[in-house]
Amino acid sequence: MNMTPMIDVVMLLIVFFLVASKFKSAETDILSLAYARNADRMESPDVSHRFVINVRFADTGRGKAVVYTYQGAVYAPESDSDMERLFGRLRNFRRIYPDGEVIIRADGRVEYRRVRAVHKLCRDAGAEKVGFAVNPLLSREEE
Amino acid sequence: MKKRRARGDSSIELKLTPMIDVVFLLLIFFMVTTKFVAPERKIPAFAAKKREGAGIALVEELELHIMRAEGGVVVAGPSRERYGLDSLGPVLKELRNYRDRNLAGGALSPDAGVSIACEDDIRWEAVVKVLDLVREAEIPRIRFE
Repeated sequence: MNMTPMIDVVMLLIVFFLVASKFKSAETDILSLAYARNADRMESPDVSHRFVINVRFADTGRGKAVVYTYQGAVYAPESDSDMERLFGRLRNFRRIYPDGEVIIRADGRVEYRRVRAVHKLCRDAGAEKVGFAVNPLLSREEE
Repeated sequence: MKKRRARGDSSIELKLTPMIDVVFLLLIFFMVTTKFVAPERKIPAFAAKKREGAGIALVEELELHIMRAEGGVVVAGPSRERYGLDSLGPVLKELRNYRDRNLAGGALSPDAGVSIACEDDIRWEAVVKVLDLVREAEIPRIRFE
């Protein structure tokens, strides 16, 4: 049996999967985003210019609750000190990257008030560029 | 036990079987773990502070209310008519009308926007549905009440 062509093909497949796989960055938690048809691509190439806040459910001692997370740190919406810390980090980010963008990645099932609270926090911190992350619902032409 | 090869024999024999084993394992690993998902997108929502002393806004905002009703979540536009989340066509029409009214001289007035008033406990995905409509009508400014 001539092995060379077979190994060629197999290597090609491996390289394809290596290249095609995109590993999610650590700051994006796994959650189910809402779907939208008319959303923009995220095209900031430099991820450090982006402040990603996740709004998701988490298991706390007393059942499921909504939390905010940023770079792995968890902030409870009910805790004033947590919100103060998150606000501080937002302010810091704004100071370092004045044209940076805040992305709010909210689970589609959380209540509206949780998202509004983060949005308000961004406004208070002076972050004007805010975006809501969504999953694309691609139209037929785009598919 | 096999006899060791004589020292003089220096030809290298490449054993293919373990290599193919490993390669197949890798191949199967990548085939199983790869998930092809479209990358996330975003709906921009500028969180600008209200300009104070900027004068009177020339254009009235269009108000959309998202609330709970007996049949589920409904959206009400300026006409006060209520539409369920699955039949938002008329709302899009109202949004487009609003946009066309404000399209003087080919450019949308910078004050033209939509303000969204939503009940606190409504699911975020319902709001995104409405935001999606506003984007479809090409109205750039969204404000949350």
